[in-house]
Amino acid sequence: MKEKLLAILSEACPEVDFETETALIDDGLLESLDIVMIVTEIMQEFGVELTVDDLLPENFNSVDVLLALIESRTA
Amino acid sequence: MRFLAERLRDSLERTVLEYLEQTARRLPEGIAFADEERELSFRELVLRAKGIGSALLCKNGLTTRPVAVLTGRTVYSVEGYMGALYAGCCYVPVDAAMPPQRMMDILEQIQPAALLYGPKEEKVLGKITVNCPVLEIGEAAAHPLVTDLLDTVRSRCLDVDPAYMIFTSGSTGKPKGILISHRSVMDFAQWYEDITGVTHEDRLGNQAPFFFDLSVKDLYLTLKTGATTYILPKKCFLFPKLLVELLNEKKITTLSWATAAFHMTANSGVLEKYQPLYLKRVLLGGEALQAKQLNIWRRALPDVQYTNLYGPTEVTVDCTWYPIKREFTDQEPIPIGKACANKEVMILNEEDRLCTVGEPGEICVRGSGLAIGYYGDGEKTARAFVQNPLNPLYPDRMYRTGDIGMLTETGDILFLSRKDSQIKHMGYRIELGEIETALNALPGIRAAVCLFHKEQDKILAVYEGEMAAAELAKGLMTALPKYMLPSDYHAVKALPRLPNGKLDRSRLKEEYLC
Repeated sequence: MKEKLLAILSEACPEVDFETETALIDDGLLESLDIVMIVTEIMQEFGVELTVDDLLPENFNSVDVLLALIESRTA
Repeated sequence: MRFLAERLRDSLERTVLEYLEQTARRLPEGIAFADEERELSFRELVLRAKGIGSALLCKNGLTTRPVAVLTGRTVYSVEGYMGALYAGCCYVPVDAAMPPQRMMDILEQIQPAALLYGPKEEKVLGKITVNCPVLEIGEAAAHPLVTDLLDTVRSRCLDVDPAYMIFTSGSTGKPKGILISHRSVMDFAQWYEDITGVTHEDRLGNQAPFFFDLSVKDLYLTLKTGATTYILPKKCFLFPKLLVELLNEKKITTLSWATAAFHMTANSGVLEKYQPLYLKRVLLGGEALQAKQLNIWRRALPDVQYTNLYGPTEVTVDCTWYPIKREFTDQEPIPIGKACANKEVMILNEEDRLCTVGEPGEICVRGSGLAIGYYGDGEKTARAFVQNPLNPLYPDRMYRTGDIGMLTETGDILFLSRKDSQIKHMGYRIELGEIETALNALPGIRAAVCLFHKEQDKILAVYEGEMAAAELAKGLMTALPKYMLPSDYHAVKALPRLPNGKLDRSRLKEEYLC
């Protein structure tokens, strides 16, 4: 699942190293359009529903926290 | 040697600094601007801007060349702008997030007297070549005041002198600098104060970056009325719930936003769950307002006054306004309304005669808000700012917007499209904007753009949304005649946008028409 997520993220922003970054939002690495693309992809690929309550900076700062969010929805 | 007569009291009061100082005398400790890190009172703003002005004057002496201000969306921006004015120069906002090449293009064009930069912009500075004195805003603000020079500058500044220069992308791709005078911007601020009813008790939530002239509304409304502008951090616009929380925490009453940000917030679904509780008024501009997204806001916040505004940078922010007072169906276009105070808006047909009700023509503007012109480009200025064809008797400047509009029965203007997006297809004259409005009204569509492939005589639709092409075509058939239906549909995850949030039409054309 992590591989799939990394692929989605890298497609949206090829210039960011998602494996190591842990402050994607705090460091301003993601743009508004990137988030829209990432969220749309995640919902399609993993068949999960993300609401405004999930769209919070703390859920997008690293690949691991984002993965945890998706897993909590697919469980 | 320059000889200047003593100015009339009235004209003295029409320069930006006069308004700023009046407000600072009235509300010295009132917070003028705030961001995530700092708050700045009116008293501090005047003092620090005078420091910056003094630092510039000591470096350059008296000059009227522009000062470039390289900042992010922080309070430092405003200090830099006012500092440049105290030095007798107009300011040019340069956004720290701009590509370095564009920054250098702008600097090359304006040959600034100096470049001011925010403390966080040192890194950006390393990426560009600058051939003028460079001053850090925080340091310059602490410069000892050179009162005699500051006074000399003030006695020389006329209300027709430029206050700021904003760059917009030209049709050829080369950015062009639009010069706006003190008088134009203060006239605008006065009118904007009147129509919004904003007072010193209001709190404005700034969304527009300062290099985009929409930000002039927040900036000058604050200087004029004493209201506080809170610069909303970028991450709010990534996370809608955060945005609403911040609007509530900061008790924001007034939003002068780019329509794109307004649409995005509606599309996020946040308003159905969380509402900004202190909001009284929302004023929109920059792109065509869609009724579908407006209705989402109105259902969530019915007591807020929504106003649709229209105007190119060349006429000082806006030239028409439409306070929304009735219901609109999702399919209806929202008018851009009637002319702002001190401006006249005319719709002229191809023979340069006034259009009748229902007849599309070019939107043309005259009045106090017209820009001085394009910096360093007399030819382009002469082409865009022309003699009013309805008055051959004496010099009477008019700006051709290149936008197509139409007068309706109520006397309100409807924006139809850009002049260059009017196409001829299957023998019909078609406004691509009309197809876009119909597309945007369909459920499941977040944003849509239409393009015309001239060689193939085909209309293309590119859209963000979950609907399949067949469904779209079916939906459009109930709203449009057959000859207006696109023949190709392309679903995308996100339409390309410019840094100011507007759709990037040139990129779309490159992608789909070449």
